[in-house]
Amino acid sequence: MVAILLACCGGGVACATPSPEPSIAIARQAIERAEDLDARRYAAQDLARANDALRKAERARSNRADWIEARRLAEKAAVDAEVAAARAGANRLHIAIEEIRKAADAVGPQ
Amino acid sequence: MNGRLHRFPLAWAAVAALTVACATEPGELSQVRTAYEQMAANGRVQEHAGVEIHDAELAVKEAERVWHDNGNYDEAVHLAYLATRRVELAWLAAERRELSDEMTEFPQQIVNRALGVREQTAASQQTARRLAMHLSSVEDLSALLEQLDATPEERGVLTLGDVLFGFDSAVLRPGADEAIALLAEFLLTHPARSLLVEGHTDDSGVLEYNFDLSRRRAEAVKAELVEAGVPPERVTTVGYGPVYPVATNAVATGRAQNRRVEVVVLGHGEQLEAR
Repeated sequence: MVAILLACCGGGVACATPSPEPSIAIARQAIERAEDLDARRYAAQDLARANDALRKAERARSNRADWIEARRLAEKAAVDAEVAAARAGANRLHIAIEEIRKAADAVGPQ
Repeated sequence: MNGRLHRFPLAWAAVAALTVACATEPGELSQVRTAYEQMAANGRVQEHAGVEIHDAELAVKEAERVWHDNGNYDEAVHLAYLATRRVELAWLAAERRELSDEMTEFPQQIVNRALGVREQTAASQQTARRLAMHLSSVEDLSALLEQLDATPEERGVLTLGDVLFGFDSAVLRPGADEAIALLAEFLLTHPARSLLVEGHTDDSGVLEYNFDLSRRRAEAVKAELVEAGVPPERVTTVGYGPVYPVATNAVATGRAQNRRVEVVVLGHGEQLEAR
């Protein structure tokens, strides 16, 4: 399998692996942003998925042979964090609207 | 060698399977294509999440390109995953914007009661690490734009208070010209940047009116930028009315802080994020 993968890489040109560091930095920012948007409370699963991928990326970065994997994991973490932020926004609104409806019901028809 | 393989049909099957693996498109690619098409055909998503549809389309195309040009199976599967999440982001963006619209239909009194949650959120957003400043002079603006010039990934948030509009007015003050010109020049020299212009009001007056006023203020800023040569598609406007206060509405100084336009200079390639 390894041999096949190497063969697919074609002469090694495509194998000049770029550093995963920029992707890891972007992923960290995206996670911070999701946390600022209360994702911990409103989109916990998505945020956990992002953090998990980031941790794996940070483990993989130390070994040059794993740089491709580290970069992919960081990119996953970043997009998962974006999803966490977006879902937190939607869930927060759902909850606010529900609260408003309840409050309106309590007041009764006007 | 051949003779040996003849005697082991399973070995031949394995060779065949591996060869096919390099030539057959990853299943993830056709799955994300289907998911994208379903999402992009949805009228509600089309109405509310045009930018996100576009982002998802680019992501699907990138995955397809990497597969067809390089035949890189693993990378194509990875990019298909990213594209799948972009498709999901478009659904979520549409949902969020629909819910925001729904919020505007409630009476003000009742919305305010539910805002306890959201005031907190606005406060925690303020602690977010980002280039932000309260614009009190054109020098401040050019200083911020200079910082943004040096950090293309960073987003900047300009809070324009009384600089641009009078009380209860959506007409730009004459003094705004220079600030608008600086912003326009920045956008024209940084083609990868775009703007999100958010209008905000205090909580006095009728809710619907405040939403409308905040929207008109944001649109007035956009109109001036377009006048100055900025392509309209690079400026998005939104009116949030009183729902994202930065200070208490209980006192006059707080209300004055809440009447504002926030200009969000998005980072390179950053997509719009309605809050």
